[in-house]
Amino acid sequence: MSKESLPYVIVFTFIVAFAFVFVIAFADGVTAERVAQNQKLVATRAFLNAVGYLEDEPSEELAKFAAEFGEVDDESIIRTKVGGRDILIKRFSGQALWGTVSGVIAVDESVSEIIGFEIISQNETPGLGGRIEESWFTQQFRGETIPPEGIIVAKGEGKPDYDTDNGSIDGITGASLTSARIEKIVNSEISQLRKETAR
Amino acid sequence: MTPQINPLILLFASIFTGNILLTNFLGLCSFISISRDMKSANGLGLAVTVVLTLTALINWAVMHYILIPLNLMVYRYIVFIIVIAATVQMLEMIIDRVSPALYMTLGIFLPLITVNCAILGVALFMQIRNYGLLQTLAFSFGSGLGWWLAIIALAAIQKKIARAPVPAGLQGPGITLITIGFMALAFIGFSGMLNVS
Amino acid sequence: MNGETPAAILKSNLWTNNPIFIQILGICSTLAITNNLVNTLIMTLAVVFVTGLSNTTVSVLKSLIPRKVRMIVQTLIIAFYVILVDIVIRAFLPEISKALGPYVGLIITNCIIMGRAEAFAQLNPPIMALWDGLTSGAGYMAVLVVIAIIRELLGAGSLLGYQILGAGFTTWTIMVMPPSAFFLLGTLIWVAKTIMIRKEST
Repeated sequence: MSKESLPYVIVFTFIVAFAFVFVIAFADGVTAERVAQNQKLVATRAFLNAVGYLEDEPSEELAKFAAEFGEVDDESIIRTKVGGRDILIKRFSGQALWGTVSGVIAVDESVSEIIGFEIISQNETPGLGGRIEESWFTQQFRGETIPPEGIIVAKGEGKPDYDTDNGSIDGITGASLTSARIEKIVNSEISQLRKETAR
Repeated sequence: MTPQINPLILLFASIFTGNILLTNFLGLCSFISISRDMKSANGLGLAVTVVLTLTALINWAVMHYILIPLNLMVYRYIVFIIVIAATVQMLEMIIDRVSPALYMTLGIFLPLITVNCAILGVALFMQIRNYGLLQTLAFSFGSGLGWWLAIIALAAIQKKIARAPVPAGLQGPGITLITIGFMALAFIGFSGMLNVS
Repeated sequence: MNGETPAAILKSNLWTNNPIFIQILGICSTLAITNNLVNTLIMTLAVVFVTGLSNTTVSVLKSLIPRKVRMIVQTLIIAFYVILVDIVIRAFLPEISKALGPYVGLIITNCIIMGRAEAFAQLNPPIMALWDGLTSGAGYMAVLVVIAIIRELLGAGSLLGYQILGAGFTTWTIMVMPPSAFFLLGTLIWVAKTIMIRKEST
């Protein structure tokens, strides 16, 4: 059979495609469980980053709770005790500039102070809005007092604002839109948490 | 279904602040080699805009009506690239038959576009950011326009640079890249223009 | 390029015909993530892997591939390896997979890979094709790693995530932002070309 004849072309392309599809399906099947596991781990790690610093040595209870945290949905507000403090934790997701941002926010029981804030997933531009998941950004929220009208994400000065009393954190240089959306998301979460505690 | 982003914001953001070329570095290869003269820059820009919008919509439909229901998302890279190649080929044939004049301005750039990373990039962003149909339309059309705008601006600047005394080692791609850097810096300044909240 | 020695191929791919310096190819897929060294290393290693293996595969199959569907089969081969890389990164390096986002998939449109398959693997035996693919990838990797080192060191004061520059160091925010990648690449090309021109004239 000639190499350029139509039947050969069809058979050849079919065999190549079939071989590739087979190998890929196999590789995907083998790793599927691991990938699912990883996704839960990400939530667990975000949770530990957000509140784990309250305890010098993570207690067994906290570790167990963290492991279960991967199953928590966006709606439920969880009350728990970490490092002797009563805290409220909530997973959230909201619209940033380019896509959905999801993460974890933890506040004290009277919703007057942010305990921690972590990003679980985001799809903003690398080097600009994508920097919201860097620790210098998220750690600015740690211990921040929440003013009645909500947190302010200021225009990026290029210097993190670790002052926990001014209710303001520094945004990201060159990504004022993403920063503004984060401000909105955080404040809407805070007002939801407030509603919950007022009940 | 998660709430979706306002398509208008996406449209403007992808033209200016989040220009696909200047902040995501997509579509650079053909950009650097073509950007010398205005006329071909314009033709290529138009072709990219048309193909980008068209393929993003087709890929969106393929993804939502074929890949997701059949649980074939692992193969999305292959499927996307084949859809893009097929669309470009088809477009070229149609334009050639229908309007030879249009073929001269648009058609000759089409083969270059299959390997343009911006096309596949937009499809992948659309998938990873979970856009709806309207968002996909706004994002792909905006990205195309943004790319077009950037390549015209660069072609105009290149014309001036051609008469400037550039050091031998910097001539060609070197100075082009640095020029693009300045353009990127300027485009980030547009982020003050939009107010999303 | 028929019948070249491995050493000549190495030199050509790393320096005199470096895919980035001379041909300005394939930077789209990686430049965006060069603000972080770890991500850049993983991403460029993925490119080395894909270039090497797709080159070898094209070379092995070259007498079997019909000319009519040559390009599409090459694309298929490249896409196959990219998907494999994507699966591996997703399963074993989830954090990095998240950071790389769609850029792993964009390796498919990396013109270097297709270029080497067309220009080299079509005409040479598999072993040489593998070597050519690996060295082309390495030439690509070298340039981007240099850019990543500069960007992470000045932009965050760290390398591979470890803090290198002390607390007194003011980080250069611009280095983390996209424009700096263009400036650095432009400057690197300038330096490399100037050295090449000097060598030629002596």
